[in-house]
Amino acid sequence: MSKIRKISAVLMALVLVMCTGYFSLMSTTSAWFYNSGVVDSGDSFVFGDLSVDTSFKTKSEIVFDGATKFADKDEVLFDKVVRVEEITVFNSGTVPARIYADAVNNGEGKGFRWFFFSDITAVDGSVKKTIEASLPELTDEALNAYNVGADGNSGHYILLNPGEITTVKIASWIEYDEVKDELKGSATLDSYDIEFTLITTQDVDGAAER
Amino acid sequence: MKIRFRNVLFNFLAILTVIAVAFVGFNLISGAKGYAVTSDSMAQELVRGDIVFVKEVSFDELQVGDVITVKSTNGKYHFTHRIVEIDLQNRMVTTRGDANNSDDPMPSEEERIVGKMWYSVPLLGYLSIFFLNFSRATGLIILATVAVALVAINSVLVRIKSKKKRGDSDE
Repeated sequence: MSKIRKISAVLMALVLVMCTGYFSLMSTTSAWFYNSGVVDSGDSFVFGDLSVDTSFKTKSEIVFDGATKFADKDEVLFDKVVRVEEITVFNSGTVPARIYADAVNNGEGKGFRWFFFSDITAVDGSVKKTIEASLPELTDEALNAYNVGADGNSGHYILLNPGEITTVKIASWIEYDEVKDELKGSATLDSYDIEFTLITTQDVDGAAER
Repeated sequence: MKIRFRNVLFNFLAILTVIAVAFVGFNLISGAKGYAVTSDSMAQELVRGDIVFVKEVSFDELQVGDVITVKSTNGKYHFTHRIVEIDLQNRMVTTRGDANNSDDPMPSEEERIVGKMWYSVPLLGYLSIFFLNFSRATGLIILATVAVALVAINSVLVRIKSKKKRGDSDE
């Protein structure tokens, strides 16, 4: 009897976890509208009234001229080695929209970091100064929290009102400490296979306006 | 009367399993699709943390006032709002969140309508919302870990019980 009980307890635990999995892995539904991007060319993202669809994607093979340290306030060459991808974004629709960004390193190159901003929020035309002004502290944690938007819609976003146009700038660089061993034998970094994504969503959930 | 912890745990697990299996089975057999509600645009009807179950219906059966779930063209995103207008000619519906000030900016085509709301269950959606923080693979690993932990707890309780028994008989 106790053997049957033992086996059934194990089975019950497994079945229960499977049932939990059924609920846990369920799709979500929300009021947020995700926009369909119309890619005019390689560097612009024009969207109209919001439907529910995907995003703007562009792939780049990036060769970095050198590695740097974003947390080092004395690193004066940061702006020289940082690569900036510029994408013109236009909201041709009738509702305000948020723009989130994401950058994924599809290769094996180490030390990849990124940060996005718009020409409106840029400080003195300097990526370094913009990062310092945007993050509470110069750490990877703060940078990740700022960038997380594309996954969780909770990070930083750029607000674009109907009819507005802006240039979204995605800055990327390689952290020196993570590649210093590789750099010992060679003066150059391998190219990085990076995918940039812009996602737009409706700015205001109606419930929040009430 | 002495209530044994292990018996209580076993019975609780048994009841929970029966309810969960019946509920999941019912939804699978009925063909209902469930979605965890992540925002309050349909408050008071649906609020964050609910699970809304929808059933496929033909476009002609839809009526103004029905709550429907609509998917994106790539099927990745969904929203659940109420129909405020039906365009029979173009086979499209205009929707609106009950708590929203205006209609949704774009009408939805027939092909994108997943189904009509059948019923909803409160709170269960938080499970799905919690797992949004993880990738699907990580979510499965967490669930597998929970399963292993439950089995381990059970075997520890069994061992304690048999040790106790042995100890009693030694005395």
